[in-house]
Amino acid sequence: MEKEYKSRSQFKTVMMRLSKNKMALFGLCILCALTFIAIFAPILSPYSPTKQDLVNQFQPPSGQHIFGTDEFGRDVMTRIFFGARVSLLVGFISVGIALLIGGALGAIAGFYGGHIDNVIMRIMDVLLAIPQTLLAIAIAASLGTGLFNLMIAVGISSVPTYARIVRASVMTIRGEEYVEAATASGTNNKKIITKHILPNCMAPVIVQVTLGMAGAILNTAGLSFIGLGIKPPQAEWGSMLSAGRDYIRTSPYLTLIPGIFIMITVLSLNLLGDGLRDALDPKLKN
Amino acid sequence: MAEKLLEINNLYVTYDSENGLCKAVNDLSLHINTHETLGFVGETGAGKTSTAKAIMGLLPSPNGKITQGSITFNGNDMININKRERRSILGKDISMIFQDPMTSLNPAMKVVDQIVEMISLHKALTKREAYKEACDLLELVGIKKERANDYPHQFSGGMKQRVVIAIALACQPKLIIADEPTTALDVTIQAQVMELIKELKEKFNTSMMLITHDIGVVAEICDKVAIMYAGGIVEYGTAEEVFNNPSHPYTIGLFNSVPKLDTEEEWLEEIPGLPPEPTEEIQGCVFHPRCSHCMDICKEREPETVSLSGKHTCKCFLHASNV
Repeated sequence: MEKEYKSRSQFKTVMMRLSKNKMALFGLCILCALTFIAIFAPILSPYSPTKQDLVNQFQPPSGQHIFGTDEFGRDVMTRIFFGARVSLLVGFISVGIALLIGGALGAIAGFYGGHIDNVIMRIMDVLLAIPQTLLAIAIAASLGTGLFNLMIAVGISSVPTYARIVRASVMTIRGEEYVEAATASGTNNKKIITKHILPNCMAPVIVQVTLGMAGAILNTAGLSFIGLGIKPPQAEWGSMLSAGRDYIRTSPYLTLIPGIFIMITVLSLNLLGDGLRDALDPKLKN
Repeated sequence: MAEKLLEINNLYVTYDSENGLCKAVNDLSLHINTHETLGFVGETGAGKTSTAKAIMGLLPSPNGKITQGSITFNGNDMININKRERRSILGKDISMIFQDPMTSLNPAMKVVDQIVEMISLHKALTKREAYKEACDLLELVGIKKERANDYPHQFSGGMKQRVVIAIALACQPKLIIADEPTTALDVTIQAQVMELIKELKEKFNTSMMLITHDIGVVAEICDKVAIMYAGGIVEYGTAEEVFNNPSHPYTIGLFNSVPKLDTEEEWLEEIPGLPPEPTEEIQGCVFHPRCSHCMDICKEREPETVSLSGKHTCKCFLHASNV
């Protein structure tokens, strides 16, 4: 009897190789755990993230309040859980915004070249000349505070990075023979870019996305820390860090715990990004 | 009566390069009739691929340019055609088989999807119909349906070239341009792929322009042959005429450099020297520095194309009557 032929998709191959990398897997697990607590925050914790309980101010970590309480008597663990929602959301959405705008601009610049490329990339260069955090601060300051504005600010400030990465990979793929073959079959430019070029330059982009999410979370925390991000009663790791710094001598856990969570998130994203880069490297195939 | 499907007149193709203007194709004229196969033979750098790319409108812009001449395909002017019309012809009426099957398939797309894409670009079919047709095409080129959902990297070189052929044939084009379809494959697979091309060409009744280094392949499947040297055609005629009566010293040199099965040969005769750099200007006949029959006139003037018999033409003073 004929042996059944098993086909293995590229996704499966990459996942298989990723699973061999323990550090990347560790990062992925932490991220999944963080996503889990972000989604089920209201169920996981009996306290409200914003309701003040002035009797229980500055409770050190205990069985009742695992991470203690802050200056208004709010449970720190609950606030961390709800803060994870903001951080992960901002991470995803702002990177999404940056990838969408930057990716489109980069693809157009890389594919058409010439004047179009020049105009787009010089604008990107202007944006790149401004430090990313400073740019985010400027955008956040002009748009005002709020979750949505925060995402836009962090997103737009990292558009040039994505534009450059996508442009560089598009330019290498553009010269490939299968792109020429697609042109020779009468495929239009839009289809060539979306179906033939972009899927083949995903590897560096995916890596940048994971690393960029870490950057976006840091940026958000930074903006909230200086008061341009999330408004005070709402929980966010950066603003918690900022609020806790007044009590760093008496209650160090107020700064320590949000800081550790920011660090763990960024670390796990970086580990995952590194692992993905190795797993997607075509030279290591099979 | 055979009608002209593709006609090229006095085509010149140049590339701007750092070392100056590179003349890839000089004064090339040829035509392909319906259901006819033209073998396009020449060394690397003779301008074969440039000619093919000029027909397809694939010359790299802005460096590659058609400076003179005309290309007419099926009544359409292929040089001044607008992009939209060109797209509707490419793939549907002319399709191309590329040299290297390793790089001419999209590594991120299932092979069946690449055939489906070609079909749905030019035919009004539903997705399911297109998918079925793609599977049929795969079976036709000798690939099992079960492998339709595989990615190109799971295929061997010969199988990839079969897929490329399936894509090229997807819309039953009038003309297939095969740019050295077997160069990247090993010898046994070359024979299989060539056999397949021949078979399918007859089945679909298409015309073909076969670009190759391999004179043996030409003898096997071509009706007409154009021998190209340094951007121009030096000898042109039906395969029978050219093979029985090679006239240009370059053609003779090419034939002599192929080992023959019926005679013992210690040494193969080669053509001395190398083909000229395309940026180089050569006075007189382009072949004269390497020609063993070189005469004084060859160094001064460029030979005219002379008609030998019937459709057989040759660009050499040896056959010119009025010198």
